[in-house]
Amino acid sequence: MNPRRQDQFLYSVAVLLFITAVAKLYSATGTARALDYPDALLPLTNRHVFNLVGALELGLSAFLLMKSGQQSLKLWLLLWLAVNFLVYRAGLWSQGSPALCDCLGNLNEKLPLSPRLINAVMLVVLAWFGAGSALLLGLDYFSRRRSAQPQALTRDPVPA
Amino acid sequence: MDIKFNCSNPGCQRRISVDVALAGQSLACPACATSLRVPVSANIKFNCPAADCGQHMVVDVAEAGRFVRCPACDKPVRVPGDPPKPIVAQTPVSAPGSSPVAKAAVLTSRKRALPPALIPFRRLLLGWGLGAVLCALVLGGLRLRAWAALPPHLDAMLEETYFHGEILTAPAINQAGTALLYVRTVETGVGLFLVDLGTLARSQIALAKPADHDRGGAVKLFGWSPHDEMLAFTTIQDGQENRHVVIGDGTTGKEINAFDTPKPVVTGAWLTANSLVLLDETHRLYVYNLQPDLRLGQYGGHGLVSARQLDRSSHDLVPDSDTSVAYLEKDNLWRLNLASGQVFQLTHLTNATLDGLDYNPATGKYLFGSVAAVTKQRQLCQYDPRSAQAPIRPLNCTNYEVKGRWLPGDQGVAYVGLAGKRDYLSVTSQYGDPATNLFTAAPLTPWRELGYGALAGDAFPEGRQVVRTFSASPKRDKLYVVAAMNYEPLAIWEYDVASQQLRNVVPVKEPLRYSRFITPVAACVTNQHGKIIDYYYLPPAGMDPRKKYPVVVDQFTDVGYLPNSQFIANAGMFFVAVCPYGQGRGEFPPATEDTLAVYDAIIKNPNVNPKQIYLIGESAALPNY
Repeated sequence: MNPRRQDQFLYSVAVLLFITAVAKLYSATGTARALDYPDALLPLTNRHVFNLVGALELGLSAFLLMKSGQQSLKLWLLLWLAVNFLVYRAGLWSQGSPALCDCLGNLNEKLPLSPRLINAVMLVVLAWFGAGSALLLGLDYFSRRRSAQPQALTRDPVPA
Repeated sequence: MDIKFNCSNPGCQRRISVDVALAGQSLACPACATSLRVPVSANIKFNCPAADCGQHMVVDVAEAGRFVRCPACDKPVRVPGDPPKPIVAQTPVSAPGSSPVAKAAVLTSRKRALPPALIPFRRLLLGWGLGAVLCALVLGGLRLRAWAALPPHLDAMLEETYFHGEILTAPAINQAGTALLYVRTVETGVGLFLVDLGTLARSQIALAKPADHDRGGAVKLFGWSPHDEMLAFTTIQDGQENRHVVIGDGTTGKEINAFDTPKPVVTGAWLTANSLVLLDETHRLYVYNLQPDLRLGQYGGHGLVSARQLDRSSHDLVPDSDTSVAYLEKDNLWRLNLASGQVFQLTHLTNATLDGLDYNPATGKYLFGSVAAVTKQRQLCQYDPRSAQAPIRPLNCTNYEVKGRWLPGDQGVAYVGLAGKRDYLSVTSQYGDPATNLFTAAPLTPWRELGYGALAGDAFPEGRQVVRTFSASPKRDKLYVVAAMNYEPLAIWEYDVASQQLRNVVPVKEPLRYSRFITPVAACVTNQHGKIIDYYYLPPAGMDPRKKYPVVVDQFTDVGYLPNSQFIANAGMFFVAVCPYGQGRGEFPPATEDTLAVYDAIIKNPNVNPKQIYLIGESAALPNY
């Protein structure tokens, strides 16, 4: 697998995670009463969920940007996060709640876009996280298998 | 990911590992300080050059220029590329950059290279910076797009629509009938305006602080002095109490004199051109004399003089001579002679409540409203002190509600009547003649019949021809009515009793620049069960028949002018309410089926955009949807 492509993907994810994290953390500072209501699924208030997930996303974004190497670990972490988000959305759907994720917190209200459109955009972002990381992990796996033998030879160069 | 390569200095050949971000850049060997160029990639890919082999191979970049054995044909193969070479001649560690050229090259190289420990932070800053820029661009772009889609002058139009300047109290008219004072809310508080009744030119002469959310009671008008030389009023200036009395020039309104009363003033009037009488909220009566007046005896001193503590039931202060005032107290008519200090009880009524006192200097008769204690029947009564046999006589005034005022002539009166929960103005110039009713409107449907109107008539003062209050000019020949016409906001109308002409002297608001009043269109639709459902809509301002517009469907209705619907229509949208216009604010929203039937009707309108139909409501109005 081309490592540059992995880098580009992880960079794009890190930037997106930064945006969603800042939006959540900013929203958590609001005074709306709804922030103190319990979350639909988690035993936490909406404010706590925003803070928790925002910090997690910000940390992951920093990790993706700062840590060199360990591409596989980054992709696995990203896949784990995407699966968590998917499970959360599935939980909302199973409860019969409107499948409108407050992924951007109060920023939803500041954007002159309908909640449905924002929800669709965030779903695409989630697909980018999940499908992208899964695809790159798969390609990396096959690439390693194919190049394992020649790379081993290079450790024993023949002198000219 | 790292790139690993060897130092090209034959005497060093140190194994160096750098971050992939430094690919292609120059750096100094940490061991011998030889300036090196980092390979552009961590791997070298090539095929075996043997004609019968062609095996694809991937080797580490450090093997560039060296020989490896092909795993397929077992022949030695030279890896493409040259071994890493120094870009500057070998430089001893002890004396880096000893020659000027080498020194410049090393310095340049050092300037570009960032300490390895800071490289991750640079990447972090760049990544987050890019995120912040993207976020700002998306937000800014969307905002710009939304702003461009808004009607021009939206904020100014919103100001005009929502702040129509409510007229709060009955106006005051000067003795000559040439000028009028009125009180209207303004953005910064409550304004007092002077109107020239000849030209209808208006000017603001005072500004008061609003007392509360409703802004009522911020200004009290005492009208003009007997010769129109001065006018007087009170305002709230400091705190929340209306204690600041202003005496102004009768022509310009410019302040001549001002003073504060100990307690907030409830009412007041000019006694003479020199004296004002005031009643405060503790029911203490004051006389304010511009100059000492011997005719007022002990109350004739200069300035504010405390005259008498009245009973706490006292109200409605009316001067009936230069030295006396009449007032209502303990549900009877009383008279205080300020010269002698004596008080006279003029009536001895029982089982009735009195209000709305008026006095006609031409006939010497008093007029007041009476509410029977048992039957609660309201009637207008006159008191004639010169009639020995029947000084108190009820007048035959149909639907009398409040505020009777004498008109020219012996028996003519005007009053606010009530019919069908709607206030109107009734005028009869001669007792016994048929009354002229002004500002009448269809009755509000009782809520028991339709489920509407439990709050009707209370929530909104305006409606289709509704009277709030009125004043009679000192000559009693003209009435000045605070009333609404055709569901528009309150305005002041002049009614000439003799000619029976109505004239608008103070418009509903200042001339509109960015908005206009949108006339509602009443309509109805029959649903599948044959039920007729009334609704009304306000078309968008300046509607282009070739265009399609969004629709906002409301669940509650207007009893009259409401800024919400006007704003929506002025902003370029249809406003639809599922109820008859002017029916009154509903206690409950319309049935879901009714709204859906109206929805089916409005989407057939060629100017309606079916993809932009929005439902709004409040409280109980939306859970059904």
